[in-house]
Order: sequence, then structure tokens, then C-alpha cells
Amino acid sequence: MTATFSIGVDIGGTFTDCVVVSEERVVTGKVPTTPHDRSIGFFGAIEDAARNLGLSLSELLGRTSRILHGTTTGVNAVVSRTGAKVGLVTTAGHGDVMLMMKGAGRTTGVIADMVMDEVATRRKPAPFVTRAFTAEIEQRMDRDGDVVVPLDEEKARWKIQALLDKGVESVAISLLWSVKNPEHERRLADIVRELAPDVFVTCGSDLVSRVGEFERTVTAVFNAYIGPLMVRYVDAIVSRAQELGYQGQVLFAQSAGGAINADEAKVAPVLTMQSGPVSGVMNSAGFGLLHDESNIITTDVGGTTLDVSVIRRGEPLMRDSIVFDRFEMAMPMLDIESIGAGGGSIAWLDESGRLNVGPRSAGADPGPACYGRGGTEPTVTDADVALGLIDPGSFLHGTVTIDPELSKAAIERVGSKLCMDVYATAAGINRLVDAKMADLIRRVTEFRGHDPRTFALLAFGGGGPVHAAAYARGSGVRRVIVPSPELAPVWSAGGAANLDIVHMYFEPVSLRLPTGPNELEKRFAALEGKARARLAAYGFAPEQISVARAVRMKHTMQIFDVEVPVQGAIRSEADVDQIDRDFTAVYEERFGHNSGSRASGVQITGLQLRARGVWARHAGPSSRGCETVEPTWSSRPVYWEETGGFADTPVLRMQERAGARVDGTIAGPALVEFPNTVIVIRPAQNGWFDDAGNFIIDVFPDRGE
Amino acid sequence: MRMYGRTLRNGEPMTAAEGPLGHVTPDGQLREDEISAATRAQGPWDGSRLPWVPPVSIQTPSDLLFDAEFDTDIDPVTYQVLRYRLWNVNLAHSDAIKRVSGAPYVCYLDDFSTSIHAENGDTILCGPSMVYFVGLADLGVKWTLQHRAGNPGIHAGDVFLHNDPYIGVTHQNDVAVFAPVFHDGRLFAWVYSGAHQADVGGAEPGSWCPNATDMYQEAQPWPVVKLVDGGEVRGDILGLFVRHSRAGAQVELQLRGQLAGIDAATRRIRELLDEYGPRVVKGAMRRMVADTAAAVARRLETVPDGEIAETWRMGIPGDFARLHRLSRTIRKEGDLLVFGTRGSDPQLPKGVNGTYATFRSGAVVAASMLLAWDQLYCPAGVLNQMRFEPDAGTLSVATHPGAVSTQLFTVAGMHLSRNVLSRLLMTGSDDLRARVRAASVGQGSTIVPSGQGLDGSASYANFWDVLMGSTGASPFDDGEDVAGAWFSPSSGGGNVEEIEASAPMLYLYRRERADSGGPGCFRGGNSIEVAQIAHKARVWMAQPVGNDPSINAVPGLAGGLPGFPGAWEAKTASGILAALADGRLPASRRELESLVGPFERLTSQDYFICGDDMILVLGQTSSGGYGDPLTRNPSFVETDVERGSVTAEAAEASYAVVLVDGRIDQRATADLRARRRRERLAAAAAPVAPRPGHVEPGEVRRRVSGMIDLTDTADGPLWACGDCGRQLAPADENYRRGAALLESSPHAVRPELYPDPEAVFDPSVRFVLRQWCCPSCGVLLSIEPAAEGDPWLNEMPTIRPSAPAEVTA
Repeated sequence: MTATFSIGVDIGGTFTDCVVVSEERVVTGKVPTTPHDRSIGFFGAIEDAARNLGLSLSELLGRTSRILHGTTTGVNAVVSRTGAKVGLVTTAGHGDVMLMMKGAGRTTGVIADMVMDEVATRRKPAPFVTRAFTAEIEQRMDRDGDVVVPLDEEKARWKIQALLDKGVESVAISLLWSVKNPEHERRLADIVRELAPDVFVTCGSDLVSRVGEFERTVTAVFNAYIGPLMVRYVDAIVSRAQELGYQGQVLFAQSAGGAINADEAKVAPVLTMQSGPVSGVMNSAGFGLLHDESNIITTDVGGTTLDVSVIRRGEPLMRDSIVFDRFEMAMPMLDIESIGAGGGSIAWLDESGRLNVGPRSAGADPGPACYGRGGTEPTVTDADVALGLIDPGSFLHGTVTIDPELSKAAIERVGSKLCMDVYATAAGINRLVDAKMADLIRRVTEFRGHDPRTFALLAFGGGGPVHAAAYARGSGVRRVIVPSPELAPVWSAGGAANLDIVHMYFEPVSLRLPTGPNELEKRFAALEGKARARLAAYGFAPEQISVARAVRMKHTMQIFDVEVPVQGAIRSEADVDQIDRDFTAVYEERFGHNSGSRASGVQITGLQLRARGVWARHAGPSSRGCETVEPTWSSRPVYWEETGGFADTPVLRMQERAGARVDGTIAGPALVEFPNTVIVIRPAQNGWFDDAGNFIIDVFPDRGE
Repeated sequence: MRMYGRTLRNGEPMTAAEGPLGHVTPDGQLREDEISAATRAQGPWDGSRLPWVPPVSIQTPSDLLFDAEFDTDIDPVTYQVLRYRLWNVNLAHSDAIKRVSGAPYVCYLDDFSTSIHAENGDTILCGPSMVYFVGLADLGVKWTLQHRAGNPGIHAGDVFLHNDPYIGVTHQNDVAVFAPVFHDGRLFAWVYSGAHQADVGGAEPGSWCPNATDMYQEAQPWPVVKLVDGGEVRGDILGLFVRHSRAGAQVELQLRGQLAGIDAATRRIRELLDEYGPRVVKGAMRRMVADTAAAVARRLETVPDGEIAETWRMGIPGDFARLHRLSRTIRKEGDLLVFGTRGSDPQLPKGVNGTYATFRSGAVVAASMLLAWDQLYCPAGVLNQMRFEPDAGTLSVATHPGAVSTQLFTVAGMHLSRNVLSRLLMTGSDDLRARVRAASVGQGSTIVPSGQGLDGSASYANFWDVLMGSTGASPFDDGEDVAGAWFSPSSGGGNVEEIEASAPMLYLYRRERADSGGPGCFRGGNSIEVAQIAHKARVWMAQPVGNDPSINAVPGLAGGLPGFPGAWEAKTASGILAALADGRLPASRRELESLVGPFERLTSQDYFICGDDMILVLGQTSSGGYGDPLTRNPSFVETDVERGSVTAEAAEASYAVVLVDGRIDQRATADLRARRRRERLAAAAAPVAPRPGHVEPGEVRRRVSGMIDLTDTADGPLWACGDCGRQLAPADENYRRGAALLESSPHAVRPELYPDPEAVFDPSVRFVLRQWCCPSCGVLLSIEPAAEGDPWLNEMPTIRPSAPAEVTA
């Protein structure tokens, strides 16, 4: 009994999922999320998994080498506006930066479909910091980091004290051009610490190294806003784990596609804000590596949203910013797009009598009409129930009681106004939501220069397996993979269990090509030294550390900069020429043939480094094949929109055991049921289990390869 | 030749109900001409001298076959799926333009549009970018059908280009690229984009030529040419077009982007045709038009019939002093809106005039936003409920070869159209009133700095400050401070660091300007103020572009005051560099002024050199207020002062709210407000047709604007003061006849907000703020900026006794 485990925990809005991985097996745990104190659910989910292993909580923890955690604690505080009272310290004359929001505060991050709808009435979000809590400090750097106005520390001290006197619980310091010279920010941070040692303090330049004061200030303010509660949260989890006998590290998923340790999470909690979907994407990338799928579209269908991302040549696409409540925050993160389309999305009629689905969601409370908790508006889940896709008896392990009559009544209320019967309406709701999801998949791929037909689509989250066959068809994707179906609904937690440590570095530069190799190499080497030292402190041996260099490049007259990977050291002019050639290739792949304006010149705008500390990982059982079992078939009537009516449909019922599979091809229409999800194979599609127990759907079997 | 619009299929006449899309009302009636028969008779409206106004019937040669058939029984789900698929066609079209061109105008400012048109040119759906192009894209397509179908012909694989303002673009910089989409040899639809090009030739870099006396001195306008012939780009045409530009490489790249967009959009429409068939897709298009027309008609029914007009007086570049009249009228009849330009001054020998296309588009944009907000963007449906009364030869609707390149009256006309429609819709249902907003942002006046850094590299600063914007007040709430420009909802003003990175300059401050929003019961949103100095520059220059902002029109609604119009100021030999080195950093205009002394107003249109110690101080145009500021809830004022959006001085001066240690002194406030009203009445002229009586509360039909009620009395429908019930006038008369009128210099009303007309305008014109008050209680009913002697306009629709409106709340 020397087996060791790694544990991934993912706290969602409704449930807290846990996945325990060892060489032999994968076990899951699931408990309701405990919003008043999420750490209770955290250990509850682990305990649930431990029970499934026949162990006590402390027995499991005693044999666990790593706990990785994707938390929504930070993002929830931002969304529900329950964070700390933040004081903002900024450059005189620029104290309104958070209020002005670059003039785009009404529409930033609002999906194009909705901008026009409310163009006259939409307002800016409430501010996170008002003027009364902003201290404008007389100091100024210029774009080279040269001091234009020196910092008067005495005056600054007085202004900061005035902020503290107003009872601020944390302080964000964000000055113009601190990205080029952080000296004044550091001095001011020292002053804050001197005056109030217990107050959480954060500097923009420590979090973001890109030009653009608004996004950097937002990042600093969000960090300060969630800082105090994240410090408490991390401490609570770490100390409780230690009490229970755990001796390893508690690691936290972060938005760039990896993990950081507890100390880093306490200094820069903002990095954890977008970590929920990240774990799912990284699990998909790991899946791709294992199964030789280098081009993957990931689709995570939850109760409220669909999250889509693209993995290209094994690497998830990245982006530089994310919007929360129309505040744009700068940080390197996985490029994940979301729309309000999920199981809880509500179907409704607009003023012109047209049927719409989402973006409003019934959420977990009241939830879909069929939950019987007071929801009267029909949702996508209600449509799934009415059509017979979801078996009311076994939904979510039977933890939720489903009443199909409530679904039908809710759907009928909408359908009757369209002169459509309940089933045609339910099928219509599904067609609309599937079309919406397909539109997003096309946008996420085609708008980034990729052809969805050349990608495999990974479907996970509770609703992914139910709807993937339809939205894949709508977007032209040919192959759907439901990875380890019994784990698909807890895919994100499973991903968290395997996250590597990832640190991102960025240094803004402005170098026109041609440029000599020495300057570039010198700067990269310095970044790399810093990165390796930091990972060595985690205990990684040099061979466990991988470092990927890239430059950000653009054409001078055009606005897009792209990430160009740099292979190895830059020693000669020829190496720089290679970077230039690679730039053209990358640029054209993304923006189209002949889209670059080379005549105006080419420049490097930044150096980027991704440092990864790679764990010896538990591959889990799926790497070693799985057990073939005898199929258990039954059937039930299911409504198929393609044929316009109910058909007695074969249902394959799978047990709750990781890695079980059955032989043979299943012709659609058919359902494959697992305890917590169901895979839908549409008419004229085929599906089968691969050798590793993943379920594959051929979306267009008629088209061949 | 056959009559397009009546004979589309194999020479067989179509019934009215099958008529081409958008030319029929939803109940199947053939649509009328968009201009009256009398106007049509003034000459050929073909774009040669008079601008192009498409007729009901367009003649095309018989070998051009149309695919105009459609299903009427599409199921509601397929309809919705197709509606969003079409929406995504425009998104894909926009995306391709952005990605291939990578141009700042397109990518940052969203200064472009995409659209899908029916076979006859009607605009079915516009994409979500610069809304200004929404109401004119169809004009170019229809002109092409009329004038190019015979020679050089319209065939599959062709792409056309034009930038002729007399056909249908805003100005020559906005280049339209569009293509027919054929299905089985028949013309099924068109895809279209219009995008701002950095330079297309003409006397001035950037192609804005304020001093052009006619169009021959501006960039060449290109009537429709075939840029791509059967799939092959015509090198001769492309070369010719690119050769005209100072930025040829950029122009070519952007055209390539537009062509990539055409490809993407065409491919997507073909996919739809393959998947659903042309009859279903066209049926969905038709139904979108019908839904939109029905929504607009339904909403218009809540508004009383009547007429309304508004005139703005504006200076022009290089000649601010003389004021010119720009007018819009609306006649509302049943479910129809008739927009006119009556009252506009004759066109000017300057590059400032508007055209029919921009007059029409401004009206369509306004109507789309205020009446069809939930229909995505379907101009054909909106146009179905609109007619136009253009006065050719005016600065609103110039005739060729009038110069147009700076778009001054084009952009102002768009703002004015929205304003006058807003006034009309204030009399409608609350749903309409909620979308009404006072004017904001103005003409986009700005200063474009350029020069060289110490290393000699040339640079231009981006002029995005103007897009920081704000929104005007509405009947239900305040405007929003620094909240973007309403006509370009997705763009913004960028970061200071990004601007400084691209140019040798430094912002001393960039912040919200307190008090800049127009005071009112609900106040207008504040705009920003900035101060800039040259920094690490070898040479640094600035060029004011557009109008002098101090004469921007940003009127309020229903007695709300106008917003701060904007100001360009400068200070040479300011001593700022020494102050900075000494650790002093002034953080607002107020602090700066106390440090370096007063500024000089800038009015020049010429480049000027910014010396090392010169400060440019720019205040951006803000937005108007709603309702009498003396009726604003004092606690809102208190909050504004606490938040720093309104100063304590303005609280007292504009709102008559007395604050003691930041808290309201209720008693003193009530006294001061009463005194202000008495002072108004003492200074005001008595009504020209006073009605001494008061109405009873039970006689009020509904509140229609600020403090004006529409009432039903024994004497028939009357306008009455909503505050005290004083009768103003019969509803079929201008209520202003029963109101007291106070005329004063705007400067006297609030010197910080409005410039002294004596210092700005020709002294022969006395520029005034007309303030109409209730003759009994002194509450402000409306405010109108005007020149002394201008006729009074109808601010509210005059309700016709023949058609008493039954308004449903």
C-alpha cells in the first residue's frame, strides 16, 4: 500500500467536484458547493472520494503527494461584489482611469449580438473604487521609464494615511509607466506596509508587464479586491489539510494553464480568477498528447455557459486579457470564449413573437422547471427531458428529482403562442441552442484562422455529451470525442489533478527588425535565469523544468501582434532571420495569405517566456486500456427532430466504473447512458468506444474521410 | 428593358404581394416612392447633379435574372436559426476585413460596416460596427442595378467599388466594396462593406479638405466601377485607385481586407443556400423586414401624429463666426415618419456639406436605435416606415459638385436627426421614452498632433480622446459619464500609455471634467479633459480637425441645459517644465490654471508648432441634460458632489442646492429654488397668447415631456404645465405661445459651461439660449439655443385636431 495519489478539486457554482488519480484508478467525489465557506465543500468532496476508495479523509490525505485546486472564490467575490474595500494609489491627473474605463465601459466584453439591443439603455458597471478611495500622487515616469516628476514621499505618505484612515482593507498601487520603471510603485508599497503592516498591498507592475494603464490598474484593483479573502481562504485550506495529516503542497490552478503554490496564490490571487475552465482545457491538452490528437476544440457545457477553446499543435491558444463585468484585466491566459448557452438557459419569446434561448439562465435556483423548485420558464434541460434525451430517473446520480410534466407544461406555455406542440417546441429550443453553440465554435476557430473541419471536438461538462453531436454537426466538425465519459462531467477537476507549475514572463520591448542577436539573447537569458531559479525553489530538478521562449511581433502599420515561438538560443543573424520568417508564417496562418504589410517594417514588441515545472504524473488507468464489458441495452421513446417524431431508441446503459467499454459500432439514433451524463448520437451518425474507453462520434459518416 | 420591381421572374409580372422585398409593406401593399411625387419631379435624382434617390422600379436588362422567390411558411425555429446565421455572416465579413487589413481605423475605431442585401439592394441586415453606414449601403447597390447592369454588367464573381457621396457614401474616404451573390445563375443577394480609408487623395493629407470650394478640389469620387471581374481583380482599376492615395500601400491592404470579407460573406451565404435552399433563406430575409417594419409601426402608434422641427446654428472650419442653419423636420402620420431638411441654409463653397445619402442614413440610424432596438439591424424594415423630403441645394442635401469631405453637416445632421426624433418619441410610450437620450459627443472635433521624436522618427498621435464620449440624460435617468460615443458603441479612447508610446508627447492629465454634463432634472454625462505637452520631441505640431468645439450643439431635452460643448485652449511659455521638475504635477484644468495662469482659446484650422513649454488644454464635448435642473432631486446633487462629478459651486449655481459641509441644507435649498424661479419670471417676457386657467389633475392624459402634460379639458386637448397645472395652449398649437420666454446669452447662464458668443461669433448674430418657462410657477419647459430673431420651432409635435391621438401608456 505505497500507492500515492494526486487530487484535483474544482469548485463550481452548484457542485464541488473532486478527482483522485493514482496509477491504478481514478475515483471521483461530489458534494454541493458551500458558498458561505467553500473550504467545507472542498474537504467534503475529497472525503466523498476517499469513501469511494474505502479510506478515511486523513488516510487518503496521508497518502497524497499533491492537491491541486481550481477555485472560483476570487471570481465569485468580483461577480457578487463582496470583496475588500480597496484604496487605489495612482499618478496625479490619472486617478479617473478606473471610472472612465477608456470610454468603453458600456460595451466591453458584451457579445456583438447584444450590443445593439441595448445601445441606448446600457449603463456602465458600478465602480470597484470611487474617487474618495483614490489617492493621486504627484510623480510621473515617461515611456522610457525616465522620471519626469520626482516622487515626493512625504506628500505621498500623507495621502496614503488619509486613505487608510477611511478604513481601506487593501491597497492597489498602479502608476503610469510603472511597467518601464517600478521604482515609485515599490517605494509607495513600502510606505503602505510601514503605515499599515496588516493591509494587503499590491503593485500593478508586479502583476502585469504590458503597456496599458487601464488593464494594469484593473488587474491590480481586482487583486486587491479579492486579496484579503483569498489569503484567508488559502490559509484555511492549507492549515486544515495539514491538520488532517497532509504533508505535500496545496497548489492552485491559474489562468495561464498551470498551477502556482499557495504563497504565490496569496500574493497574486488574481491569477486564479479564470482557473475553472482552464483545468478542463489543460486536461484536454493532456488527453491530446496521450491520444495523439494535436488539434482539438474543447467544449464545456455547464448550466449557464458554453466555454470553447482551441488547442492547436498540442498547445492551447492564449490571449492577453479577459473581461469581468466589462472591466478588462491584463494577464496571459488560455483563450476561452463563452456564451450564455447551457442546460439552464431559458427559452422565451421576444416582442416580435420570435423564439429565443438564453443568455438568461435559471441557474441552480430555481433551476429548470423540471426541478420543481419554482422555475416556470422552460430551459434547455427541460427540452432535453421532454424529448426523452435525459432519463428523469437517473439525472445527476438521482440527486435531483425530475418531473417531466413540469418541463412539458413550461414548454407548452411558450409553444402554444407559436402554434407548435410541446415536442416540436422542445426540439426547436434544442435546435436554437445547438445553432448558437455551433456559431460560437465557428467564430472561435475561423476568426482565428482555423478550419473547424480539421479539428476533433472534445465534449465535456454535464451538457456537453448531450448536445455535442448536434453542435458539432452545425459547425462542420467531423469527430466528437467524449473523453472517459464517466469522467466528462468532472473533467475540470480531473484536469486540475494533473496541472504542472507554470510561470509566465513578459518584457515589453520595441525593436525594429533587422536587429542583432545579442540584445535578444541577453534579455531572454536573464528572464530564463529568473524563471529557473523560481522553479528550483519548488524542488524541481533541472530536467523537470522546461522553458519556452517566444517573441511578440507586429507589422509597424498594422495593429495585430502575434506570438512567434523561438527555438533555443539566438546566436546569429540567421537565427533572427528565422524568427522573421516564422513571424510571416504565423501571421498568415492567423490573418490570411498576404495579409501582412511588410513594407512598413516589422517590430518585436515583447519577449515572452513560459516556464513549466513538470511533475512526475499519475497517468491514470486510461493509458493502459480498459475492460470490455457486455452491453446492457434497453430502449425508450425519444423525439428526433430530424425525423420529426418519437422513435423507440436504443439506450446503452454503462456502469459507474472508470474505463469500461463495449465493443462495436452504435448507429444513431441512440443514447449511451452514464450515471451522471448521457451521450446522444443523432440519426445518421455513428458512435463507438475506442480502446481506452473514450466515446467517439462520427458526425458525418456519409462524407467519409 | 423591363421594370425591375414588377417583373423579376422570367418576364412574368409578379403580384403586389410577391413584390421585391422591402418595397412592400408587411400586408403586401407595394411600397411608395421614398420621396414625394413633387420632389421626384424636380429632376433626375440619379447622382449626376441631384443626388441619387432610388425609384420604386429599377430598370435592368432582361439577361440579368433574379432569384426573388420565397417561402412564406417557414417554421419559427428555422427562421430564428437563419436570422442568427445571417447575423454571423456579417460577423465573419467584419472579422475578415479586420484580420487582413490590420488597420487602426478599422480595428480600433470600428470605422466600417458590413451588410447583407436582398437581390434588389434592400439592406436586410447590418453588422455591429459604425452605425452611420446603416442607412445608405443600399443606395450604392441600387444605383449599380440601375446603371451598371447593362454595361459592364453584373455577373457571378464580380465585385464593385464606389465612394461617390452623391450615390451613397458619407464622404470619399468611406469606400464601399460590394458583390452580387448568384444562385443557379440568378442574382439572389448582395454582400457589402464600407470602410474608412486613411487617404484617398485630394488637397489635404487625410482627404479632409475644408477649404475646397467644390468637389473637384477634393479627393476624386468614384462612381461604381468593377474592381473584380468574374473572380479576377482588375489591376488597372486597382492601380488607378491606389495611385490617388498618399497612403497607397495601406489603401491596397484595406481593399484586400474588404475583398477577403466579400469572399467570407459570399461563402457563408452559399452554405445557407445549400443547406436551406433559396426560397427558405429569402423567406427568412423577408420576414425579418416584415417583423422590423411591424415593430416600428406598432411603436409609432403610441406617438401622437404631428409635426416637429429643430434647427442648429453652427460655424464652419476657418469661419467660425458666421452661423449656418442646419435643420431637420419630422412629420409623423400614423405608422409613418417623414423626415425633412426644411430650414437648412443653402449649400456652402466649403468641404462641409451633407448629401441625401447622409441625411437619409442619419434618420435611419436614429429610427433604428430608437424604434427597432430589438431587430438586430434591419434597415429595410425601418425604411419601410419612413419617407424623405430633401431640399436639394442646401447644406443638408447638397447637389453636385458641392464639396463634402469633412462631413461636418453630415455628422451634425446625424446627431440632429436623433435629437429631433427623440423629442417626438418623448410623447410616446414609456418603452420609447426609456431609449430617448439628449445629444452627446458632438461633431468629433479634435486636435491631431504629429511630429518627430528625438531620433527623428515621424509619429502621429491617435485622436481617440474624442471617443471617450458620454451619454445624454433621458426622461428616467442621468446620462453616463465618459461612456463612449453612441454612434460607435464598440469603440473607445484607448490608454494614455499607448498614445504616449506612439508619439513624443506627455499627458499631464486625462480625467473626467466635473460639471461638463448639461444640468437638468437628470443631468448629462460628463466628458473628459486632457492637457498635453511635447516630450522628447524634435518637433511637435498640432492640427485642429473639424469644427471649433466651443460651438458644438449638445442641446438638452425638455428644459435640460446643453452640455459643455468643448474647448481648445493653449498656453505658450507656460513654465510647466520647471514646475514638473520641481515635483508639481497639476491634475486638472483648474489646478493647471492656478499654476500657469489663464489660457488662450484656439480657433485656427492650421497646423501650429508646439514649443517645449506650450500646453494644449482640450475639453471634449459632453452631453445634454433632461428637465429643469431646479427640479433635480437634491440628494442626487449631494451624491454627485460627493463623487466629484459636480462641484459644490455648480450644485448651487446650476441646481440651487445649498450644501453645508457636503450635506443638503433643505430649507436654504427650497428658498433658493423658489427665488430662482421668481427671478426667471421677473426677467422673462410674458406669453404671446396667455391662457390664464389651470387644468384639474383628473384632466391630465399623460406627461409628454419634462414638465409638459397633454390634457383633455372641456375646451379640448390642451398643453399644460406639469408642475402647477397652468394651461399653456391648445394641443394643435405650439405650447410656447402660452409660455414665458427668457432669452439670455448662454455665457450668462453658466460662464464655465458655455463660451461668450461675443468672443466666438460674428457680432451681427446674437446667439442666445431661449428658455421657456411656465408663466405661473417658473418651471423650465424647454431650452433652445438660437440666434436672436430665429422663428420659434415646434419642440413638441402639434397634435392635429383631425387626428386626436389615443395614447396608450
